[in-house]
Amino acid sequence: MDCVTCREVIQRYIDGELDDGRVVEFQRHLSFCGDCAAELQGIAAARAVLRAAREVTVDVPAGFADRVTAALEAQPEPSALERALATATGGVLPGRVPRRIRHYGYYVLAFAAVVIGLQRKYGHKPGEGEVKV
Amino acid sequence: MTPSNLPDHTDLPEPSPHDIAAAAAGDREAFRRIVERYQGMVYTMAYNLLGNHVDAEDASQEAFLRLHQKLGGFRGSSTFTTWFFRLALNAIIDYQRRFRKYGALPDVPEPVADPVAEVLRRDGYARVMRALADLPPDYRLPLVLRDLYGLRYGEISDALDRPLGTVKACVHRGRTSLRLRLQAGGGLDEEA
Repeated sequence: MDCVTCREVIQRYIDGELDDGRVVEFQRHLSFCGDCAAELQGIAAARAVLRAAREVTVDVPAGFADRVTAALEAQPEPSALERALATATGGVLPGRVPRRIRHYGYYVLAFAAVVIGLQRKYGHKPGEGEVKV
Repeated sequence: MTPSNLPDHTDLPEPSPHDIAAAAAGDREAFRRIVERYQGMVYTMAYNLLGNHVDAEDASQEAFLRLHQKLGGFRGSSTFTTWFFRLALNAIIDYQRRFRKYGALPDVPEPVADPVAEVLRRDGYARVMRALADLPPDYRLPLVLRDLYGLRYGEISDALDRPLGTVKACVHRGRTSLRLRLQAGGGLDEEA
């Protein structure tokens, strides 16, 4: 493995996505290439610092829960029917449709429009082609 | 593939089933107890992703309002914390997408440091947040979701609604950029 290839796969190595054969090649290259070893060490260190930030909890500003409650009070209370609908639809209140479902909805509507259009153009028209006996 | 770190959040004490049911039925006091229990998790996540306190507070508030709307849909197939973590994450990403607020230098927070995380005592965390805020915006969110929260690339791709290859490239470039910024600020030499 040369330096160019090594730099290409360095992130996949960090993510554990290199297969065993490539890992051996990669590590062999690092054993004699100080520049690539330093690159790996630097990126891994940055990643470790970022991961360690998970242990930090930022202080929540005073009165945050009060402001959430006030914002909630400012919203109209959903009706019993809306709550029942929300429960039945997995917690989605009317007017709020998840993105994925919305996308599927567009596809269905587009498909229906095409079908209706084709039916109007080529479909059976009343009285046409009928043979009176 | 690295397992997602989402289950790690299950170490937060769960709210009582009674509180969840009561809050879903409209009991504001029960809902407030849930807010108080989770405000640290949500606010920190918003701060880590958005990089300043003003946006962190607004986005956190939106996350809790969304929780209030969707609480009735919690079925218990995962822990409440895991379910809410994902809901809050989506709310924060939607907030960021809506306002496209990028690039502002973050305020210096007052972190409550875990004693185990010696590496990130106040200056370290602030420095990391500054370096993150300085990253090109397209890199920051995928990088934080991947390396800070440990989400899988596929999960990030879904959450951000961006192609998998783009997400990977952004994370990779983000790591390299973050490394350069931390090294320029002396962060890595002292902390890694």
